[in-house]
Amino acid sequence: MKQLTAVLMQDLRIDIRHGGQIVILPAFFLLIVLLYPLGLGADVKTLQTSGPGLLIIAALLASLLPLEKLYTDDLKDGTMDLLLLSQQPLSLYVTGKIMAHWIIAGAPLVIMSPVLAQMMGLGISWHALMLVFTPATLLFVLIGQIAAALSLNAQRGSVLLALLVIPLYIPILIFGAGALDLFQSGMSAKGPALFLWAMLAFALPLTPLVTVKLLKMQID
Amino acid sequence: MFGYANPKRYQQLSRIILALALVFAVIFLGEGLYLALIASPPDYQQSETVRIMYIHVPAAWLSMFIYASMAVAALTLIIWKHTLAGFYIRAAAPIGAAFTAICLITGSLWGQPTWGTWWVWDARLTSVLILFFLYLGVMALGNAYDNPDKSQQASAWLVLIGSINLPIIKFSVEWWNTLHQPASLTSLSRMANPGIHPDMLVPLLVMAGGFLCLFVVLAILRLNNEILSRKIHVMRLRTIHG
Repeated sequence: MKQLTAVLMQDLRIDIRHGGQIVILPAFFLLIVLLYPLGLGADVKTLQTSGPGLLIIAALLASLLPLEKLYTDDLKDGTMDLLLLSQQPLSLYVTGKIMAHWIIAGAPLVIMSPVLAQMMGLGISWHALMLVFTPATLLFVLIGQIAAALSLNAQRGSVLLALLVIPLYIPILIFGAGALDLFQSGMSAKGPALFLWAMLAFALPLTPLVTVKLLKMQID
Repeated sequence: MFGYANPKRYQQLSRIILALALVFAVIFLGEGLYLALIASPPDYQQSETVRIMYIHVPAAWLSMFIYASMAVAALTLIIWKHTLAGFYIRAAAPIGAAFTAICLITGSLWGQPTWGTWWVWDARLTSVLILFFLYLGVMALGNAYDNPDKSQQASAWLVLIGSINLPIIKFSVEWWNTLHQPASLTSLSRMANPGIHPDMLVPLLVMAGGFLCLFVVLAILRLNNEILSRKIHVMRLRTIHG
């Protein structure tokens, strides 16, 4: 527990002192959403029909951006070597990393989503948005960090990361957009929303374990 | 299975399989192409365009079969550290990607006269396209590290994660389509429905057998190349380090 909070607090502190992705990412999210009315035209009807999907695509792209840095810094400055030598379980470290990353790169998007939905003229209540964006952003982080560990230290890492991660993100996109669409049209979105949470329940315990394996493979 | 981790024993066996597969590939493909392109009747609705199916459907089957075989190899590599499994993934991925590309291209050539469009965002098409990108990812990751062992391990993990993801994509895409589009497309895309006439089923199956044998031939050739190139890599390292 102590190790977990140590990793968590350290990552948050590093982020804030290095100019804060926690601030920049929501701005990026807003900028992507801003592109749509400019590209598609500001017609309210178009925005309302395509809005739910666009919001989740914007969140996907914003989650893609900070993934590359997730483990590389710790690998380069030797933190990971020390961790392995210290005999502490690597899974706690990975869990701490994931939590910190979600607070920095996931939660701000969740909080921003009602604002952006209002700007797109969507009639989706804020708790419906939370219900979809919370599992979606968590899944983006959980699956994305596996891809980050996979392409860690690889040649042309960032392009490779995008190629690996986007196909894996597709189910989240489909169910997220599906749920938002149903909320938008006022129908019951129970099916896709439950699917999102089910995927989260599946990914939450498994993905950190996979990452531990991958990190061990990367270090030796 | 583990006896064949010994390269010599593997090579003896592979030589026999290679020869057999080569003979059968030539027979099946020759026979299949004759049946498919000349002997089989044109479809009453699609007329001659139906012949594209004899390439398209076996390619689609193989694209999935090869991914499944790579997933088995990935498990074998991760659990038992079987040396050949890592080489197999590297050898099979480009072939799988090629069959997926053939499937997509022939499908789109067939779609233009039949559906009147090159591409539809239909469940099957979309999931095959995603499969293609998964293959590309495996290939890219397989070359991403200077240490070849690490590349193999990393791509094995990706294959495994992708194999969990693939059914989700398949079903979610179908779901997503039923939410938005009329179901007529999905029934149109099911060309290989069980009610197919034997005159068409036989060439289809012969072609599928031919493609499978062709895959075995290509995979063994590539596998041997992979092993040789690894040997060269090791020998080079040895001369560098004295």
